[in-house]
Amino acid sequence: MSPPQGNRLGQAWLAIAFCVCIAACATPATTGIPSARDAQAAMAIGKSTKADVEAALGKAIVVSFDSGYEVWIYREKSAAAGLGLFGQPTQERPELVLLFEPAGTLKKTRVRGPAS
Amino acid sequence: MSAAPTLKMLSWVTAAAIAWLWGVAHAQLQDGAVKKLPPVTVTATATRGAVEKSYRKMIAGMDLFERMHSLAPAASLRYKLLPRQPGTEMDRIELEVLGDTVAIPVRVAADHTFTLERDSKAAAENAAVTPNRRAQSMTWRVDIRTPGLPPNTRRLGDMRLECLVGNEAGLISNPKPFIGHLARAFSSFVDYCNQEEPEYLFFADRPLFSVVMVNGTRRVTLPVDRLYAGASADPGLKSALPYCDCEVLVDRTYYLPLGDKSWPDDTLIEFEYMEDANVAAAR
Repeated sequence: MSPPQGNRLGQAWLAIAFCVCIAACATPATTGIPSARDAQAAMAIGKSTKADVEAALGKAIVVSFDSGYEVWIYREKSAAAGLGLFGQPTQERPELVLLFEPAGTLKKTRVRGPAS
Repeated sequence: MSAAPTLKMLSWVTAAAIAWLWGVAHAQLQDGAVKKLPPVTVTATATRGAVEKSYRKMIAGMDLFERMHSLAPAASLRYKLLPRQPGTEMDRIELEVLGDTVAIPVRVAADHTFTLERDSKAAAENAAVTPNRRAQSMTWRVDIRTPGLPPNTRRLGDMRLECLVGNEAGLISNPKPFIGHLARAFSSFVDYCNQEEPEYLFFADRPLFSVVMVNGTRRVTLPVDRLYAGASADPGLKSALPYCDCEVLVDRTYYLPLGDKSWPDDTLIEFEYMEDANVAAAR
């Protein structure tokens, strides 16, 4: 016997609401590094390795290229920026972008702040 | 009638509608590929299954360039070929405009750019612009560059016009195949290039580390999510890359806020590359 249509529709709406919440919470703004500038200052171009950086800052978002170069991205916690209804940051979080050369050492760094 | 068959029928109808829309979009994309093949007596250099574009559309792109030239008053228009698959041989490309009875050779410069001459007979025969390379091996872009800019910079007005001409000439691409096909199918309705954040992929000359927009004292660095075809914001991009014409150039790609009118056409786009020019040239 099929359940009443109202129940099915209710379940569908619950599922949609759940998916929206999951999507909004997929990149939690409360995780991240305390300060992109401080983290950048602690890095040594030509010396810091991927292992060094991961030990200091944790897991990064990594974009790998066929050339062997890798771009690592960290974003600041957004406590200062505040959170929206679903936990998303209310303004762009400062991001630290690191470039590793194919040998695995740090080649370049940059920080993108909310105003830059 | 219970809800289950209704929902099932609705899902089938939705799937059929999506399939139809995809088909329409795909057919539009493949416009050049389905046109009549040129007779073999015209040329011996045409490559079977070659990557080709509609001559009429590319001429329409040139017409639009003339109408919108004020966006880049000092620049001229060239088209450009770029590699799409690993190992694509980009030297000694032979390019032709091929119709039923017309075969016009097109000279490709060392930087893989070229211009098209206007030929009424080629247009009447709905000719194709055809390089001697297989389909999917190369991609096409518009190249509009104001001369005399500082090193490692481009000009926003040039890029705006590149998007408009590229759209008109059928040279738009998108890393997300399904969404991209739909976006292109409806692009004429939504004024694609004037959207604040259109996903028109630009290719820098070399792999990028940062892109900065500069106008007077205003400097804004693009978020890293606007580089590398949005890879940092899309973990699933890698599986979609074979559908993207950026497959072997991801490290050179970036999006620009073309429709953000707070940036004037004279805004400079500054590039910092992964490697210095001398290191890259030595490779």
